[in-house]
Amino acid sequence: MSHFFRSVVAAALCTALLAPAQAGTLAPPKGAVVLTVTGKIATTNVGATAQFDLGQLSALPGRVTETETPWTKGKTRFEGPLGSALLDAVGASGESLHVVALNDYAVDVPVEDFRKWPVILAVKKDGKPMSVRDKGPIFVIYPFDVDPSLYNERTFSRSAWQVKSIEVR
Amino acid sequence: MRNRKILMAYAGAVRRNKAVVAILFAGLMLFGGILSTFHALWTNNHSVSSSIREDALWATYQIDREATKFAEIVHEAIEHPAKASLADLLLRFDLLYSRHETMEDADFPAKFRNDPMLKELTEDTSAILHRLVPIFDKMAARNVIDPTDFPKLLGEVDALKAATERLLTGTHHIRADLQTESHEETARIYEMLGGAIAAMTLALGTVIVLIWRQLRQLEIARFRLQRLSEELAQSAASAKAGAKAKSAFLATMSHEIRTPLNGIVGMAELLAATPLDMHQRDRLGTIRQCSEGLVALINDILDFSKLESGKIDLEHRPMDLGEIVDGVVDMFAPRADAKGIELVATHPLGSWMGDPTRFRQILVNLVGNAVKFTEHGAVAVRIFETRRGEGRSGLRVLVEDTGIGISQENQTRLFGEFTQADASISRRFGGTGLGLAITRRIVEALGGEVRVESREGLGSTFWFEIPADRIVDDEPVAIAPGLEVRVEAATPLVGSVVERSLAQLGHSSHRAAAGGDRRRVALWEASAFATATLAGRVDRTAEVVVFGHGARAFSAEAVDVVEGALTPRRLARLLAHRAEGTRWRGNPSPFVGEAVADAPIGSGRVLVVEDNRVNQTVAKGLLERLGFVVEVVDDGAAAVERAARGGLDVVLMDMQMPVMDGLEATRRIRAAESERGDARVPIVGLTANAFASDREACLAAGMDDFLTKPITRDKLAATLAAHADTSGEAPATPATASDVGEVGTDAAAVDEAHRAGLLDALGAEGLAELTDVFRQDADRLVEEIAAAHARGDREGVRTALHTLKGAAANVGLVGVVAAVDEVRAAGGLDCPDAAGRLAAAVLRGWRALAQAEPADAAQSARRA
Repeated sequence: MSHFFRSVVAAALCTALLAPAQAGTLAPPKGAVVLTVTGKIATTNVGATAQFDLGQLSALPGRVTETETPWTKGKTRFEGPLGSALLDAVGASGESLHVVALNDYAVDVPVEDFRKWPVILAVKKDGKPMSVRDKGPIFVIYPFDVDPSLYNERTFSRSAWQVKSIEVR
Repeated sequence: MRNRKILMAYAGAVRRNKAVVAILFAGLMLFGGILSTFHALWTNNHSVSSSIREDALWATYQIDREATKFAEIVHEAIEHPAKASLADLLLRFDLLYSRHETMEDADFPAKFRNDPMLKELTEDTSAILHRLVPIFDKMAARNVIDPTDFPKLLGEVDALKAATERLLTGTHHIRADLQTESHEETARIYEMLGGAIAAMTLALGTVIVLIWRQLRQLEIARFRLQRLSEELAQSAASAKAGAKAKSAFLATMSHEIRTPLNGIVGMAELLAATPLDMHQRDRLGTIRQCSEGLVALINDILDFSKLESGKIDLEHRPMDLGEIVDGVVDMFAPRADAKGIELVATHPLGSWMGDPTRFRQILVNLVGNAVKFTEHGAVAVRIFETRRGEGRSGLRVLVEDTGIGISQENQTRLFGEFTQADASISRRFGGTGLGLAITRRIVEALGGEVRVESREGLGSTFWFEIPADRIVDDEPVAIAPGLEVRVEAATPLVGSVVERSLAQLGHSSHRAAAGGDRRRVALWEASAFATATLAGRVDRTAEVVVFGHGARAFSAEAVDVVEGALTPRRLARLLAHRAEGTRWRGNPSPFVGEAVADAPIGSGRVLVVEDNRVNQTVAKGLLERLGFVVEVVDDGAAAVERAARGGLDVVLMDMQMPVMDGLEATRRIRAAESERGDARVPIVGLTANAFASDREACLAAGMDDFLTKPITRDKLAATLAAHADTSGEAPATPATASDVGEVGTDAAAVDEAHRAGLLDALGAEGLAELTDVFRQDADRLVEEIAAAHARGDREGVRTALHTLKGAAANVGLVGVVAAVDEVRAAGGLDCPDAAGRLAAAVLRGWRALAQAEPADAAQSARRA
């Protein structure tokens, strides 16, 4: 719990410090693009989209979620930017997020989920970047450690992995 | 019967126990049902929350889908190597691989994990993928598609495809099984819930049924109680009806017996007034005795039956002990005289609240018994006031005799019904044996108790005690001062009684001794005086007064004699005369005097209303001998008609008559009088007995007085004299009327002793002034009483009577005091001619004073 608070405080601090520098602008990706955000967003860097490489994502305020999931054995340590930080970074203004995976699996996640809970877009598992074979590069991880009631089928279906793009609707 | 009741009670208890057990059982069921429902729900919830797992079917579907896509892209690459994209090929493989990883790591339900076929297929898939990994890793490393790998690739891909398909169908089957199991589990839980709810429903139903039964039983019990109470009320009513019928029968019988009996008594009275020889008179005496005995017997039986049925009407009014005691001892004085036994009484002076009629009845019974069973010696009545706490007082009355006594054994059944000490006594002394039973019941009804102490051959003491409150406003009786009184009695009993009476009057023995130059008076019992005279032991320095049986014989030797029973009132009177130095020659037994019996007392016109021929003749005969003009009518209606014509001085009205009874006739006569504005003619009722209820009925109907049948000359004379005052045609001389009017009470108009005391204290002038003031007060008060009476103002009458009595007592007009008491006794407002009686009494007082004045003057002159 204290760990969570510390993380949240740290995240909030980072947001506060970095926000003025990033407001309205987003640098174009330098490395391989791992995430493309489209739809109702205010900030873009490649055409009408906001594209991120791993470095950019890791630079966003993030959190470490250490939890059990139905898809992994034992406790696993996930690490990545907060969903809410990503939304702030692109200046999202929609209600719903259409999350699409590499295998074209798509799921709609309410924006509210990202605002209510510290949901992360995990880019590291147990300290290592995730390959496609290992459900990488991006895995939506809900904070089961914070709210056990999240441990249900609806949350599981929203926990998309091998995420490649998000459309803000 | 008793056993059955116990059995029934036991059965009831068992039934009740069963009900309790059933309620307990139902409650437990209810509790158990609730617990099991809770448990089932909790378990289900738990299993639901623990069954949150990754969907195996979805995972296998995904892997199969990825496998198909992968197979497609591999076939495409083999067929058109030119078009093939290495990146796509690698991505497809990576995705497929990641699916396989998920299959290995994901948290599927155990059923999937443990299924051998699925396990094998998963392992097969895994093996194929692991064999493919080096090929794709090599392609990725070289960044080129190597066609030499195609044959191997093709075989592996097809095998993979087949495996994932089988995996999918297998997973589907297992899922179907799981779903079926889940449905079964759900059904089981619903069954359990249903069972629990059914149990709860049953329990609740049982509780409701039990409560309903309980309520129904309550209702039934209530109904039974109600029915029982109705039955009881019914049986009580029928019992009451039975008692009423019995009373009615007795009343009728006694009336039927009385009527001829009255004829016998009346005719014997008339016959006694005719010239008879000695034998005839003797036999007539026997007839009279027998018929009087019979009358007493019937009265006793009637009285007892009334007491038995609880119909005892108790009064609560002032009773003057002196008046009652004097009356009772006078009643038995002739009998005691005939037997040669002394009769004395002592009691505190004053009035108490109580039932004078009943008190008198008890006293008559006890004194009558004592006189009856005593052959020698004396009968003494002693009355003491007792304190009962809380400011209440009571009266204890002892009737002592020196008679035959009663054995210890017989004392216990003495107060029972129809018992006398033994049969031989009954034969020897006569009587119904009801007397003491009646006495006991009356005393108990008055809230007291009656006891007897006796020793055979030595005498008996009957005593009773009843609650009675003293009336505080009674004036203290004047004590004759200046005398030293000594008692010389032959019998210790008599001596102690007279001493006590003296003490009541303030003459204690030590006080007598203290006085030096006082006049000395010796009270000699006649027999003691006779003995002392023979022995020459009479102390002639004291004034000799002889009392008791045979006293009259010593008139010459004594300064005064008192024949008959000595009571406190008579002692007071005697002492007053001694203080005055006058002779009283008290003879308190007037109804034996033949001279009085023959004197005519009235000259008015009397209407006799009576249906019985014999009674008509008796009444007519007696009244004519008393000097009245007599008219006779047969029934109430005729009486009303006759009364309307006027000219009557007194009406004698029988109660029970055909056509119209006496009460109704009286009401009509009164109504007619007030309508015409005529004066009220005195109406005297003729009743069967002296119960309060009858008297109240008489007075309520408007009668002035009543006479108990059989009527005798004495009763008739006394009653008529009381009402002669209002007739206007007063008897020839007032003195005679006064004498006869106060038969049995021996009241004088003026208390000479008291006036003498006043004369001493105030002087002749002061006394004259005091008398004058009273003269004015008395006239005004009598007028006030008349006015209050006319208004129906009970309180006004009461207050004025009280004032008049006090004032009259002050100046020593005891005649007026007596008249006030009489009016009070008649109920104040209910006494119809109150003002008339009082005016007459006041008038008599003035006459007496006028006669006495010269003596007063002479005395004051002598003392001065």
